[in-house]
Amino acid sequence: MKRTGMDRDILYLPEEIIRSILKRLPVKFLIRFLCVCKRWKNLIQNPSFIADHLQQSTHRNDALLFKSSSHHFALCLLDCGLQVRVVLKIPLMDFSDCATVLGSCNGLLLLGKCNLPFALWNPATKAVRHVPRNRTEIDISCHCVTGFGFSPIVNDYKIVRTYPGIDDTVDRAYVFSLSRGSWRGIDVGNLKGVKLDFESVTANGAIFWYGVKSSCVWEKGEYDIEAEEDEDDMEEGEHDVEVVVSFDIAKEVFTLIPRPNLEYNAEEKLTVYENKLAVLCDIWKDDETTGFIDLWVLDEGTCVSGETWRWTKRHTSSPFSFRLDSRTIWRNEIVCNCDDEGTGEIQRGKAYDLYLMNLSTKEAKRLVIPRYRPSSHIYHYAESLVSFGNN
Amino acid sequence: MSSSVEAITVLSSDGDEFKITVSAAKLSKPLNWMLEDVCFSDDCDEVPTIEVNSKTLVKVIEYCEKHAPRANSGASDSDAEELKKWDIEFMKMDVKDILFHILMAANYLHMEGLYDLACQTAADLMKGMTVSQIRKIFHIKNDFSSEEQEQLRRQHPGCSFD
Repeated sequence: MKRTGMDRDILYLPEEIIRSILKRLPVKFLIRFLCVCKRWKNLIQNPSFIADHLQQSTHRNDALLFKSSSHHFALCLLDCGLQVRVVLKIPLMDFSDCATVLGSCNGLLLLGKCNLPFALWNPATKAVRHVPRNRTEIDISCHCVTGFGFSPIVNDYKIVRTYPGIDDTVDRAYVFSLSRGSWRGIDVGNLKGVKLDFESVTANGAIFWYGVKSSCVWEKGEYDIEAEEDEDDMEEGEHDVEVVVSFDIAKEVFTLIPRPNLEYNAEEKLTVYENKLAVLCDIWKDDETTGFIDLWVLDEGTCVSGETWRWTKRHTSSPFSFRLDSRTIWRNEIVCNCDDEGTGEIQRGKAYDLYLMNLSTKEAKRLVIPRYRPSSHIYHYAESLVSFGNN
Repeated sequence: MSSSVEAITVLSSDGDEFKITVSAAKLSKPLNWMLEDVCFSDDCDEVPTIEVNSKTLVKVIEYCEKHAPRANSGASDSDAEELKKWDIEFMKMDVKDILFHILMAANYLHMEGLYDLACQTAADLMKGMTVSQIRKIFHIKNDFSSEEQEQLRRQHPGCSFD
């Protein structure tokens, strides 16, 4: 018997419609409604529903996540209604103090602390999975760079971690695949000799960092022949090349991408715009009274000779009269820290402001954010039902 | 297609006649096809039937007529704001009695805007409901054995059978 359509006065909604309704519900209600009946339970736990729900959640409920300035380990969420909520502490005592968020992807957070195992945490479902440290390396956290992301091609989450050589540049790299459940060393290729920024962003199955490649790299007495030809009397650092490093999560390959060719000095910040890698450039003019922010977006393509990259300037903000420090793009707004007092010092307990500059209207609004600390890294977070199995 | 015709007549599943303006009908793909195929042929005696009951069709047409000007010409931000407020008022209706019928109708008539709005309204209403209330409005029987209930509860502490 078909249980759809109208049956006298009783209306049974078809599964397609029930699915459309359920994907709009926050995770806590979906967990509550697992018990409605077996059909609903199977629907809610179905991977294609979880993917649909994630897409809806990312589109509608993308929030900003930052570490609270007042609690030891509490995270704050700035939701799309511009309300700040304190998220539950991570349910692991080992991690409750001084843990750091190292990555955020599809509703999962990667946490790390000293040389304890990493933890993957879904704050919405409260699920936690430990990821052991790579035992083949001595893990000196302060020199290692970590990235976390998802590739839909291989349907897998991966953690990538680089280790330095004698200087702070990358020497070795390891990848932890969640589906494989183990670490594996990978070829760093031309990433060797690149110094990476700690902060990364992820989009489209890749993880990106800013980096600087020295033109002259000494490694175990060998000269890196990939670097540009040297000139006589070249000073150290003179020919450093600023690059964007991309890590293809499916292929586990690093690629160096040129940065946008800016004709001015700017503070640059990686972000994601329209699902593409983008760079926010904070420009503070020489007259010290006006500043503005440019947004450059990367288009990747392929041609006969290989990959091509094209940076396009997509937006320029209205000018402003104090220093702004752009952090990310969120819901069609550039999110900036504001330093209008110019002290540059962060005071404990003080409420700091965020500026939101709308990309379409170019209007700016100022938000006082309780518990916000300007130095903390801002992640994007949209809750999801995504699970990572048990280890 | 003749542009002189401004409204078309349709029948509800209960057999009642309804008029809907051409611009409003364009919000629905099937209605749009009817405009092209049936209503403007030479022998236009036949009035097309929409498989939606009268009570629901009244609401669907009300939505179409309200949204048609914006859908056809685009609108300013203030219009969009006003329309959002109107949508909220429009959606204040009984779930079982009419909202589910609107969902079925919007799905059947391929009306994306109304479908999204109705799904979101239903989802928001469900947030305030217990599992028993959900079962009642969706006409669902609890088919878990007590062992299965216990197992689910253990796996998902947030799960409630009440």
